[in-house]
Amino acid sequence: MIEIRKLCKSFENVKVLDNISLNIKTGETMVIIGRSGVGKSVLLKHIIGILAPDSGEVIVDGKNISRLKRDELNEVRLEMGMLFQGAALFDSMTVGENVGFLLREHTDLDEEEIEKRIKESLAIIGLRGIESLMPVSLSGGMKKRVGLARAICSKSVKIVLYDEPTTGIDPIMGDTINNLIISLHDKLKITSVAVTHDMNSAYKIADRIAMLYKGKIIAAGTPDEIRNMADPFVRQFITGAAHGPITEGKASKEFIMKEG
Amino acid sequence: MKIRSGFRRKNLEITFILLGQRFISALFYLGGISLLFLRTLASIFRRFVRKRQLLDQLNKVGVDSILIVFLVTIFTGIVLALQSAYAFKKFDAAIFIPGMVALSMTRELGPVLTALIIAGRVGASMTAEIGTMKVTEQIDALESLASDPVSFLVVPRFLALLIAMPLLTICGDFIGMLGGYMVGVWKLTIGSTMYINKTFEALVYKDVFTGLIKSVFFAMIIAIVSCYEGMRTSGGAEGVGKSTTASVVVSFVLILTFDCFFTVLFYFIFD
Repeated sequence: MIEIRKLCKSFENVKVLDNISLNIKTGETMVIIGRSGVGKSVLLKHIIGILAPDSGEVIVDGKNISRLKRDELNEVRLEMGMLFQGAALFDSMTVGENVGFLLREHTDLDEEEIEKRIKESLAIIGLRGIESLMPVSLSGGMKKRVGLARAICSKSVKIVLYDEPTTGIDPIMGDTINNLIISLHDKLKITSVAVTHDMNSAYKIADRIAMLYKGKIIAAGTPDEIRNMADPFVRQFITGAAHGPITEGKASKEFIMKEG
Repeated sequence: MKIRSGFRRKNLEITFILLGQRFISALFYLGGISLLFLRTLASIFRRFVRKRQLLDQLNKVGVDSILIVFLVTIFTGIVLALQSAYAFKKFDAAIFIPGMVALSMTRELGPVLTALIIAGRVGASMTAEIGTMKVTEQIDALESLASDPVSFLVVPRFLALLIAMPLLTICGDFIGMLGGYMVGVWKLTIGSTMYINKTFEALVYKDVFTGLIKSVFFAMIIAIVSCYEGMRTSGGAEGVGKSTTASVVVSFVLILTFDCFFTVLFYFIFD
């Protein structure tokens, strides 16, 4: 379970996350929606401990991420995987080295076993025989899928974080990635947190959706609840209307999700 | 008059605020560099060193830099011998040229020129590489994969520079002296044996040794400044450009500052 409690984060005096509280249950797929630059990726990076909060806490399976020492945090990270927006593959390494990075760095598995795991992970995301290619020769969609294979290569992964999994790729590849996320969730029973502004993707993969606006969670519910929500801020975002309270810069009613 | 003095006071206030801000950001910068240096040392002693990355970096820092070090130091040796010949000939003292070239190269020019070449060639490339990794989230990806970026990126570069710089400096010293030898023997007709004898007469171990101490410190400066600038890069391609420029400028300034400091220090210690 991931518990986010009263999380605040500012960059150069701009409040990006403002007192956010959110609970994500084990095995659940939570999708966080919101406009670009609203702080969705910042929230994800707090969950995996890449960013430290100004105040508040992120608790993953009972461990307070912001208070862990580097080695303890790395222990927790071994059970997490993250797919980055631009895939963030290491360009100096081959696809195989990228996917098997965590296994080579942090396990005592022999090379044969690691190679087998790399092949399995690449097979899960539907790419075979590309181990020796360099990331620069892959298309955007392939990079994202390899990034996903890298995130799930370790068998101990329990939580996967997706940063804009379908952004910047064609709709067909986007749907392939959506299906991958669903199948990973179903097969491996992992907890997933995805941030996106692609509503088709959000409706398809989410168990619950939360909307981030001006540093706060202003709405949360199942995909159907969000689809039928009357809140003008949510309605403008999910319908993608050019005019409405969001583009007029109005402050939302202070709906801060209280859970648990 | 009142308006004028108020305006002046306001200007003075702004100047002091700007100076204060500069001073504070310089302190932050020094703090950041010191912290990265300590984390690098801690990482070297706590964890295993990745041999593959170290060899890769040694190749980039050492092997790939030999040619440029060769070119710069041989020309410097030639110029040094010719320029001093111009002055020394007036006093009929051309015989002192071998010693002067040897001392200048080992004590000063060998270590400093090599450091400046490496800061420009290798340091800049390290900043650009790490900076690009930063803006494309590869450093975040390293952290998400439970790996410490300092141990993975900084330590191999730091150690490679620490090993390669003194070796390149020795090469630079020798090649610079060879440049001087060429001028001495072919142009000034000093005679090969005489030139070599005069070189070794003037040279003592401490001259080479103090130069090598300098080169070790220069290696640490280049490694830490380049990696620090890379790791604090933000703002896409433009940010990478800015960091790379800053990395070279700061390395140059620190190399020359530390060179002056060590020269003064060694002068008083060893004299």
